[in-house]
Amino acid sequence: MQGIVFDIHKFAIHDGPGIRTTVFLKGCPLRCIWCHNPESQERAPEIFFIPEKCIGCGWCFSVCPNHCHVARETAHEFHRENCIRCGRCTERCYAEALELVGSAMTPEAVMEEVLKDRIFYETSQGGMTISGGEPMMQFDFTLDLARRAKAAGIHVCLDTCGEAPYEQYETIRPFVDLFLYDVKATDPEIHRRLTGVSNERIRENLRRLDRSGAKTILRCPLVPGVNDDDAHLLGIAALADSLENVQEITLHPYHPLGIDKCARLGKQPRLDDKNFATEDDVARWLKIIQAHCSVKTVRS
Amino acid sequence: MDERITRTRERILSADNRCCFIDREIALRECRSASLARPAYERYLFEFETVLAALSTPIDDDDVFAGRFATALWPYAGERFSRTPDGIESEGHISWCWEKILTGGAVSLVEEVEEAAQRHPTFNTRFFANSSRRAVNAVAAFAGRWSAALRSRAEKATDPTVKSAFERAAAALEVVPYRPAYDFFSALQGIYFWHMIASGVCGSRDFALGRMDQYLLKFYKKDLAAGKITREEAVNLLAHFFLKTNELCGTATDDYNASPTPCFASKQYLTLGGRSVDGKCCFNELSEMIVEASRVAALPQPTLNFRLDPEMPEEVWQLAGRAAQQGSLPNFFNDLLIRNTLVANGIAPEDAANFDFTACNRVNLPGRLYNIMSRIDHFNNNTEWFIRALHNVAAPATTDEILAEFKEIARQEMREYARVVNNLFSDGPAFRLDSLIFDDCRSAACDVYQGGADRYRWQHHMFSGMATIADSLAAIEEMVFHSGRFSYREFLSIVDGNFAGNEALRAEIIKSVPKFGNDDDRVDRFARQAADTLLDAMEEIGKETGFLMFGSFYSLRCHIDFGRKLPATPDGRLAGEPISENQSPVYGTDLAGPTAVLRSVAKLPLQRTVCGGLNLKFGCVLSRERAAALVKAYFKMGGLHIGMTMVTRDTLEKARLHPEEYRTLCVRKFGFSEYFVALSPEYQQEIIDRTEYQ
Repeated sequence: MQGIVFDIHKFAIHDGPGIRTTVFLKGCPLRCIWCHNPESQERAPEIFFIPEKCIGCGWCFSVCPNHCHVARETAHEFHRENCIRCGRCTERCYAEALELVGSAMTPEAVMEEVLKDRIFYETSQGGMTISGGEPMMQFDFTLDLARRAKAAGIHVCLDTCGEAPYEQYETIRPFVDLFLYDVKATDPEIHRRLTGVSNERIRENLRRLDRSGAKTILRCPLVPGVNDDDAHLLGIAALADSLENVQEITLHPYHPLGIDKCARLGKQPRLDDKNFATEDDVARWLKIIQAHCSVKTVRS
Repeated sequence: MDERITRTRERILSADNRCCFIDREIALRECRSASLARPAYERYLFEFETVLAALSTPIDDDDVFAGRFATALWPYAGERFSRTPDGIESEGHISWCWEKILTGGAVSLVEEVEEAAQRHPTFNTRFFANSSRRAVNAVAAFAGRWSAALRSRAEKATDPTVKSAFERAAAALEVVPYRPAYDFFSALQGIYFWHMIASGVCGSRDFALGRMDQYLLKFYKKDLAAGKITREEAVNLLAHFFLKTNELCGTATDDYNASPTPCFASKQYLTLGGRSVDGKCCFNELSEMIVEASRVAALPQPTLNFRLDPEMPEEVWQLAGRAAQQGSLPNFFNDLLIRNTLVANGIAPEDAANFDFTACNRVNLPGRLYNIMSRIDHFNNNTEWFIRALHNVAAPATTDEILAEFKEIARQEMREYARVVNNLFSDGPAFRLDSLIFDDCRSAACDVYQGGADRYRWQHHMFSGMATIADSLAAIEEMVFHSGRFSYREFLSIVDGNFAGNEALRAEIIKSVPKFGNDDDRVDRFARQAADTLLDAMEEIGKETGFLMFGSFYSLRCHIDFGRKLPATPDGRLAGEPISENQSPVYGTDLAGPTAVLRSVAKLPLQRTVCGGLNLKFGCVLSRERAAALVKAYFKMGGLHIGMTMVTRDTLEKARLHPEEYRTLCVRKFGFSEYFVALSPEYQQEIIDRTEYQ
């Protein structure tokens, strides 16, 4: 079995309790307009291209089977339309102008990296977080990682948007200690507009997981002027209070770092807002939610 | 909030770094010819007495503790300060016998010396004893002048808080430091007064406060039990005391805009916790209060050094995490590792249990070991040895052959050093105040410069550039021995040519050859081998020469100075670039985050060394729990030292542009903390460039 992994991030301190290693899997069913990891959306590997870093060594011109790399006067053009994502050009791009995002890995190889930091999980009550993209898109692989981690005595968090068949959540639940569950909009129509899908199944999955006793942290990406209206903030508060096993609400203030990544992928960002959420925004969000629900609410 | 603390901090931050301790320098200038007219061995005491008698007693209404040097610009432009040969001086870097000074008074040190001189009356012992008496009397007389000055200010003071503060300090200085301290306040006042004289009159830096949570505890407990003090008041006193230590050194640093005072860059280390010789954990309520007071004082001195081990209770670890989180920039040391190394190399267990710190990377045995810098510490340019070894071997087939030659060179170099430092002392009469610290000096009435504190003949070898060496061996392994792309000599000539015309190869080495600091055994094993090679060579020379040998992987700022003169190295480092700092990976090569760095560094044979350092910079504030967990895991793996800075790159950039708004911002540099805005532009850039996590 292999999964498409685009990062194994050690010393992750924003993806669940303690010191963790987060495994990022490619592929996502949502297309959130503010996506900060646009390289995670497609399941297949992709190529980051940063023309400013190119030193013109010519390696990529000579190895590309489809002649995607072309020198046009002094500029290096990358014709993605013919790219088969073989990664040959990235292999020896020492200037780091070309980078392969995502590669196939076995669960054994992933766990070997994850287990290296076991001692830090032990002293910090941390563990492994499986994230993405949407890890449920590679369900068998995700399930296998979670099983292996549990067998090794490691705490597992699953970072999910909730858009997957409930049966899969039911199957993986015994191997997950804590779900980091996204809440992106309260109104189904707004949710569809912002992420490409309605939140009906997402909400239903959350309620069923909650009834089954699964512990959750609600992760709420908030984008000023997009989804930080009072109705949604109150919606988050009401949702948290209506569930039994929510441990915490974590607010994730918008940052525009996904815009650069879009450029590197040759894509257009859907939300071209280069401003970070301000401290005032965050303070307002915290104030409203904290006033209307009993669940501990923090910023990321 | 005590407004006096805010105002005192402000006064320290706005002090003029161009000023010197004017009374001292004028007195030394004026007594210069009189001093030179005396026999060399009399000059120290003559100048010591002359300066103490000449010092003024500047008092500020916010003072809780008394003792200060008047500061002013040096009026003799172009004329250097007067420094006579054999005159007043010190190398600092020691901690006083605070326990004895507090419980017996400084006079008890003299009495011990006088008894010894009576037992063995020679010219030298009598000279040492008489000088000790006169020096301590001079301190007492100076304390008396301060006391009188405070009394007179108290009489005129209208504010009752000010009045009672002056009266309390005046009363204390009638007793301490000459006679025993009688309560928590007088103990602190006595320490400060003596510490100030050591730093600013004898004139050196890095006099340490030692294990304060141990020797002060009984005073605090007694006052608390008697209802004389509350916990809150004691924390407040500690905070005032901590502020005073910054007054001594100001905000100047040792490489930029340095203040012309004798102790301008004094790092005043305070050691917390540890274990007693019978294994008891020594953290106590005072350790906790010291951490709190450090937050209140919020200035870099004193630097808190924790002696920790993974088996200590969780609350101790949380205290450590709190100190890191609150920005005190503490150092964490693995107590177990250091003690074991000390004992294994010939230090008595009771001395090993009592170690403290007198510099960022300097384990000290208080009262037992005279850490003369020039004699004990040695920064080895072992990257140069390594480069020499690369060239000495003709056509090696393995990295082991290179390391064998590396070891031979290391042995030659350390043998030569041992020969040079073997005979530093003279037989003539001598006295310096520092000698009174040492049990052996007192019990033999013999100065340190006569070899009075030579119970342990110790050398401390510092090695640097381990990551540069490991990455270089990995590059040779890959390019020559494994892939066979180059012959050894071909590859070496490319390196010697500073990679000119081979930029692509250099880029390939930098990107594709594994680098130390990423938890990758393919290269970490070379770091371990090279490190073991150096320590093996050192131990062999120790056996040969009779020195107790201690090693550390520590570069201070040598990674820049050494690197500047070294040719390119096989890891892709160009000629003149710095070698790797302390135990850290080469800057910019640790791409897998701090846990991987810690895992790599823990593969070094740290259990054979006594000191740091590893500095990690975080671009965020870690929670107390995570900071504690990170250090604890590292120590469980056999890590030895961590210093942490938690500050974002963004903040540092802003501080560089708007220094006036960031005067209190402290960062860790090499092994110690510094005001960021007082650093030279070059060092500011280095701090900003250093890998940042999260």
